[in-house]
This record gives sequence, C-alpha cells and structure tokens, in this order.
Amino acid sequence: MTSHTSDPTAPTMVPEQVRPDDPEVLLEVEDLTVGFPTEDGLVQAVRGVSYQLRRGEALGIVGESGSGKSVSTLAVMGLLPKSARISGSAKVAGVEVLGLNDARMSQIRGNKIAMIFQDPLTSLNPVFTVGFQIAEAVQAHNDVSDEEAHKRAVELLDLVGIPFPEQRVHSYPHELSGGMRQRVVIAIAMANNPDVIIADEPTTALDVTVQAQVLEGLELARKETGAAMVLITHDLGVIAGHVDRVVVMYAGKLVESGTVDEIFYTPRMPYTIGLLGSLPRMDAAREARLSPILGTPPSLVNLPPGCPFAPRCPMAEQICREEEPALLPVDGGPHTAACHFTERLRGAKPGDLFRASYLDTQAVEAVAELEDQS
Amino acid sequence: MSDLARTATPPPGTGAAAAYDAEAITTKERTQLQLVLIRFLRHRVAVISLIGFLLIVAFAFLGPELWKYDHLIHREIPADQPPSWGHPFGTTRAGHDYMGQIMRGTQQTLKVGFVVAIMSTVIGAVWGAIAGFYRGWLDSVMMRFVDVLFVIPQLVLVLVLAGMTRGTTWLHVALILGAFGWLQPARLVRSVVLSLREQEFIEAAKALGASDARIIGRHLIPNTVGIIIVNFTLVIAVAVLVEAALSFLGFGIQLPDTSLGLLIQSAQDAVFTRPWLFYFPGVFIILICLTINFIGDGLGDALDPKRATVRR
Amino acid sequence: MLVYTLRRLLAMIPVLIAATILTFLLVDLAGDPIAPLRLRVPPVPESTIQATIERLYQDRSTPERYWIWLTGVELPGGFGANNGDVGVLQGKWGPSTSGADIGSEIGQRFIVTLRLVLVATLLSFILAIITGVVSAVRQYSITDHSLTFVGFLALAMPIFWLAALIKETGVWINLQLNTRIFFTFGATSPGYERMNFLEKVVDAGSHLILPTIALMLNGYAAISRFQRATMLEVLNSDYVRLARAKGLRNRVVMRRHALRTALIPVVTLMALTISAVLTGAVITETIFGWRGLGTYFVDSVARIDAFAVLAFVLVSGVLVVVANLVADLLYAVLDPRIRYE
Repeated sequence: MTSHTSDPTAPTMVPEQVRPDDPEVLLEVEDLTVGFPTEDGLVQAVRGVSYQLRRGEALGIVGESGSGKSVSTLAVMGLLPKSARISGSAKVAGVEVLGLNDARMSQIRGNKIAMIFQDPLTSLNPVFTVGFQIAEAVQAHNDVSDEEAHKRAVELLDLVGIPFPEQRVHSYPHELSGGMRQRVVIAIAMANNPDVIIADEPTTALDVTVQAQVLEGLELARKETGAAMVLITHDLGVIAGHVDRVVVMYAGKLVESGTVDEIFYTPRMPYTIGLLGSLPRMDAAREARLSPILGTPPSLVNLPPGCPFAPRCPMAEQICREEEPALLPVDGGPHTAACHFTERLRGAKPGDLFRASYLDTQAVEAVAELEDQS
Repeated sequence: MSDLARTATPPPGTGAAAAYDAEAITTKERTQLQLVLIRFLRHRVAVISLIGFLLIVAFAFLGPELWKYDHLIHREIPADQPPSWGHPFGTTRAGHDYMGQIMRGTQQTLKVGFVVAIMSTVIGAVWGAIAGFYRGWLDSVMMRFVDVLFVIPQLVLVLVLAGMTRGTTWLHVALILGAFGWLQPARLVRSVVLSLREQEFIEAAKALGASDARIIGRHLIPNTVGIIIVNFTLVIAVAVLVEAALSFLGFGIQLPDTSLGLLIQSAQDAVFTRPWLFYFPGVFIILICLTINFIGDGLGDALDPKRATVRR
Repeated sequence: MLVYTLRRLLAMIPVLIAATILTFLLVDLAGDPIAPLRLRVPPVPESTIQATIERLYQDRSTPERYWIWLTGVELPGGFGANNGDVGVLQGKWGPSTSGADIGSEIGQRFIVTLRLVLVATLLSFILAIITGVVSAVRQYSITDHSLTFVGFLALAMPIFWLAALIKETGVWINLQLNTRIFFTFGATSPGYERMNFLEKVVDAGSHLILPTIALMLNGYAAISRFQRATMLEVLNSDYVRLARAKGLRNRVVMRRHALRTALIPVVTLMALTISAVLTGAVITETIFGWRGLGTYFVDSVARIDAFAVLAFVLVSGVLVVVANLVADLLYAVLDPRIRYE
C-alpha cells in the first residue's frame, strides 16, 4: 500500500470505484498503520488494523488507553497532526480518504462521516452559541440561508431531546450541563445525515447517570440518520447492549473480533478474558474477588518481538515471546482472535487465568494455605 | 487452579514474584534531580547559554585580577583609541582602559542582579506562600498591599527612592531594587500555592494527620521550588536591566565606580564616532540577559516537561 | 455591566489613595527638598531658606503634609492651614521647588506623553499578536525559531541602549542623505503652536516615529511569547478539532475558531503593558529630548521636588488603573463566560 502523510497540499486522489461486491460496506479500513516521530523514536500507535462497517451496524472498539483505538479513527477522519506517518487504506462509502487534501477531505468530514469526541466541555467553542455551532455544520455542506440553518439547528436540538430548543439555541456551551453539551455535539454530528458516525469515548467524561442519556441520544441519532456507528470505549459495560460487533485492540493491533455475544460469552484471547474478569458482576458469588490484569501496556516505541501481551499473560510461553500471533478465525467462523493458544481457551473463565488481586505476600500465602486445605 | 496458567507455575507463596514480573519496569530508575539534569542537558541552547553566562561571570570577577588595567583613569593610557592588542576594548576620552571598565561594570551589574534576585525571591516566596496557604483575611491584607504597590510602575518607585536618597554603592542600589522587586515573585508563588492547595494530595496529607508545617515543608515547597528557580533567573535579568536604566539616568551607581548603564550613558552620542564605547557595554548587557533567559527557559522545560510539546 | 463599571471605579479610589499614601511616605522619607538649597554656592541666606521651608510645608508633620496635599482643607484648630495652592481633590497640585506651576506643566506635558504611550502600546500589541500567531501556526519552522530568537533578543535589550541606537542611526541617516527624514529631537518642531490641526498631526506624528519604534521593539516580545503559547493551546484544542471534523475548511477554522478565541487572553496583559510602556517612555523621552511627563518626572526627582514627584505618581497610577478597568471590560465583552452582574 502506498504511504500517505496527512499533508493538505498533497494532490487529490482520484476516487476509486466502489467495490463491486459490497455497496453496503460504508467504512472499510485495511492494514492501517500510524506512526508518530518523537524525540525517543517512532511511536507505532497503530500497527496494521483492518475492519469493516456495514450499513445499519454498530461496531464497538474496545481497548485501554494507548491501544490505538482513537488514533485509528482520527486517521480516517484526517485529523491527525501533519507529522503523523500513515499508510494503508481507509474507504468511506467506497471513497479512499487517506491522503486527501484539505478541500476534498472537508467535503467528506461532517457530511459522509461525522465524529463525536470525549469531552463535551472542550469540544464546543466557548465564545459561540450552540445554535451557531450547529448551524455552522449545516452551512458547511449545504447552501442555505442563515435563517434556514438556524431553523434546522432548533430542529436538531429537539431531536436529541433538549428541552425548549428555541431558547436553548441561543445558549453558550458553559450554560449547559455536561449531558446536554454532549447531545449538542451529537446534534452537530447528525446535522447532515452522515453515513457513518464515530463516537470516541462519548461517555467517559460524564457521570454514570448522564451516560445513559448520552447513549440514548446516540441511538436516536442512529435511528434518525440511518447511520452506521463506531463506538470507541474502554468500558465494556457501555459496549454490551449498544453494539452489534466488537473488536478488541491492544498495543496498536486487533487481538480479537466478533459479535457481542461471542466476545462476552466465548472470548478466546487472554486479554479479552482479562478485561471481562475485571468487571464486577452482579451474579458472581459474594466472596469472589476481581481478577485484574497486572502490569501496564507496553511502550509503543521499540516494541519487543512477539506478542505484545506476553509480559502480562499468565499463559505466555516461549513462542509468545518470539512470534506475534496473527488474527485468525476461531471455530471456522467470522469470530477471530490473535493468540497462539486460542484452542486452550475454549470455555475459559477469567478466574481460570488470572489470580485475584493483591500483592501483599502474607495474604497470598494465607490464601494459598486456604486453597491447599480446600 | 485450572491448568491453563503457565506450566512453570510459581509456588503459591511467591504469587508476588509473578506480579513483579508483569510489573517489570523497562526504564532505569532515576532520581528526580537526575531527570531534571538530563532534560536540561538535552536543551542545547540552554547549555550553551549556561557556559556563556559562566564565562561572563568569570570575566567579571576573575578578569580584574588577571588583567593589567583597572577601571580608573591613568595618565599613561592613550585616550580615544579604538580596540587594539594593547587595549582589546579600546580606550575612553578621559584615559580609561575600556576592558577594565567593562570588567568592573559587569561585576557591579552582576552583583546587583544577584543580590536583588535573592532578596526578591526570598521575600516574595515567603510572602506569597503565607498568603496563599492561609488565605482569609491575612491573604487579603497581604495581597492588597502588593496590589497597591503594583499600581505604580516599578521604575518610578525605584527612581523615587534612589533619586532622592542619593546612595552610590552597588549595595545601596541592590537594596532599593530588592525593596520593590519582590512583588512579582510574591504574586507568582501565591497563585502556585493556591492551586497546589486544592489538589488532592494535600487533602490526603491532611487526612493522614500531617501538621501545617509538615504540609508546607514536605508537600508545598518542593512543588514550588521549580517555578521559583525559573522565576529567579527572570528576576536577575530584570534587575540587571533596571539597574542599568537607573545608572543611565544618573541615579544608580556613581563615578568613579562604574556600571554598564553608566558606561552607555557616557557613550550615547558616540554610536557612530567611537562605536566601541557604545557597543561593548550594550552587548554585554544583552548577553547577560539573553543567556539568563535561555537558561531559565531550559530550566522551565526541564522541570516541567509537559511544557515542551512533541517535536517534529 | 454599567453597575459593575461604576463599582469598579469606586473600588479603585481607595487603591489610588493607598498608593499615594505609600508613595508620599516614600518621597517624604527619601529626600529633603530643602537639601539642594542648603548646598548652594554662594550660600543662600537663612531667611530665604526659612521662607522656602514654609512655602513647601516642610515645617509640618508628615500626616499633616499628606492631608494638605490631598485635600488642601484647613480643619478647625489650624490643622491643614495652607496657602491655597494645594489640594489634589480640589485640582491643585501644590508648590514646586522650581517655582513653576505643577498643574500647567503636567497639563501641557500630559498630551505629549499620552500620545506616545497609546501609540506605542497599540503598535506593540499588533506586532506581538502577528508574530505570536505566525510563530504558533508555523510551530518549529525556521520562521518560528527566528521570531522566537528575535523576541528573546528584544527582551534582553536595554531600552535606553536601543533608543540611543535608533536615535543616532536616525541622525546618521539624516547626515548621509543630507535631509531631515527623521526627527530625532523633541516632540514637536518649533512653531508648533501656530500650525493648523492637520499640520500639527503630521508634525507630531513624524516626531513620534523613532521613539515609538524604540518603545515598540522593547515591549512586544513578552506579549508575543504569551500570544504564541495561547495560540498553540487553541490550535491543539478539542473545539478546533471538532470544527475541522464538521467539515469546515482550514482557513475558516483558523479565522473563526482559532484566531477569535486566541486573541482574548492577551487582553489581560494590557495593564501590565501600559505600566511597562510608561516606564519605557520615561527613558525614551529623556533620550529624544521630549518635553513630556517622563522628563518632568526625572527632573523633579533630581530636584527633590516632592509635590511634583507626587503629581507624576498620581497621574501614572490613574493611567494604570484606568487601563486595568478597560482591559477587564474588554475581556467581558469578548468572552461570554465572563459576565459581571
């Protein structure tokens, strides 16, 4: 694949023909790689990621901070800094978007594909009213008068469930609550009926009580516009019940991909299992402890060879430190996982793999004694 | 335990060992001071400036010991000579060796700068820390005082005191400058202390039962030291400029002693006729302030790496 | 908003009064206005000295002298008895050691200094904003590095050295070209009073050129650094990113979202800048030989003319306070998050 830098002066790419075999694929990312040059070396934030999004689907991207989940979507939107080194392919409704210049990309952004960011307070410009900022999104892609844009802004505010939209439209962002601001951002994303909406950690900066409202707002947006959605989060609780398919990212690569049920009930990669194990569960026994994954994600500069999860994986063996596992189908189906030992994980539960948490050696000994006795 | 875990399972009592393995840190452990030093040394400009500044200090303080002329008039010195081997900075109309004068002038200027900076920083830091830590009426009174003094430009206050008291020694000038130079550091330290106070680690320390003194000593001061040090360098530069201005106007260091400002005053008409008289003192002031500012910039980046953003 | 302004103005008065008290104490403790008289050769007769002491109210206590200076009101019991030539609140500045009327001196010189300070401050800001924004937009480029270096250089340069250099350069250019292109001495040409309005503007303006350049170069650097930092912060902000994500062209994003928001914080530097420019003006006027407030102040200090010095301090204090207020109001207008009730 040719390499692109997000350089606005690069020549316009001739849009490729839509693939004849699937007009329903609205977002297709293939072998996307993103690197950032820093003083310490090249940070490989994304190392060959591929996924597809079909019309009407909701895809969840799960991972820790630094897994590359946000960077990959920012690359698709063309919002990475000029210094980023991007290669691979990303097609929105059949049109290649990597390497497009500012003029072409501006036609696509906010129009065919829209994005919602994490912090609603800083996403909105404090010196303009919310109405102005929504109308701006409308007028960026439609030749309408200020009045019409204003009317559409009121309409959109109403759609996302903000009370008294005719008054609210004149409010400044700091006058609204966090949940309302996020809904304004959703309204902006919806404004031009995009084919794809990307929500980057839309609930992370908000209270749990407000999270439900925002997720509801997203559902509304999907229904209204018919858009397919990419939901990026580190919160598995948000994933369950709001997406159809899930991909799990770790250290810049996909490590597992499947439907929501497959990921939650039959995970086949130790990292996924660990993530599930860190979730407190209502139906677990009272004395059961959480089993977190110890350690931290690896540095993305000078990644050692082998599976990046190996240092934290209880199952790691010599081959794991030598060869990075490829993302391969599991049980023949579309469910894929990247682990040398996916077979062993059939039917595994988190407690089987990860110990319960504490580093107090005395307590460990005490528990070990109890286990011996049981 | 199921058999999924690694075949070489560590024995039960050493669960901690597995933990440490996973938690293995891949970078060398370094002290705070070492980290700051390393980051500072990466700043080429700051390091060059530090060397330059030290050279100037050596020039000013060791120079007079080593150079054969001092800063006074001597009849055997030929007047009005441009720079030459015998007189690398030239000579003045009255018969001074200019290099001797520049050495002396730089020395006086630097002495004033250091003393003012120390005075201002100490007074200002204590003032600001107390006001910021205790808040309430004490803070109001202390900062109102600062606000009132701030209304009048610093040079004006300094001129009034200096001009009307007619002191002549460098120490006199330094004390006057220091008397008003503490206002800005006080404001700075107060705002830093105010924001630190709100942070959770202070609340945590209080919850653990730490006394006020301990909180100030172990938690607040170490976190302000960095900013105070950077500000210290700025204050030196400002003090040098104000002293020079004072001497230029005739209210600072007086003849027969000299300072860089005084030298420029005598030379202000000679820019094109006897340029060495004008440029040398000016260049020296510029070099002092430039190097100090770069050092301060480098220190600032070294102490708070978030300031320096990702490079290309 | 109006209420807020009025309240702020009223709040400023005690601050100003406190500032005058402090300065009065400073002036009083620092120098004895009679001292130069005593040192005169041939010696001045004792009767003259005594008369001067009384004329300058040096025979009163410090608090009484302050009261006289501030109000000029005589209280029952003789406290505050004066010659009717003093009382700031009555608009009378007090007696000067030089015998000239302080009020009229200040009146004439105020406009001269004011136009220098205002023009220099405005141009400083404009230059600083342009260099700061350009530096930020082209971060880490050669342009950025050069502008930053020049800024550092400007910060390190003593104002009087720069002003002297500019003045002498002007003189030299005039000599080389044998014509008076640059005015290097005085604020106006002789015969200024007889000019019509337009001619006055041109004359004053051309005398302003060199001193303004000197003041501008001195003052812009600190503001420029601040503007650069602010602009960088804005360029990396989420709302600029969202604006791009909406599909707005880069130029529009820059102009409407980045620039507009980045210009607001710099307003807060206005008061500090006026203070600095005022200081610079004192020195610049001296070098260019202007008959302005700055030179008046320096002369008064040299003469140990207490009331004249106080007058200058009051005027400069008022200027700074007003600038502060204007900056606050401007900030509230520009930033909807700040609304004073």
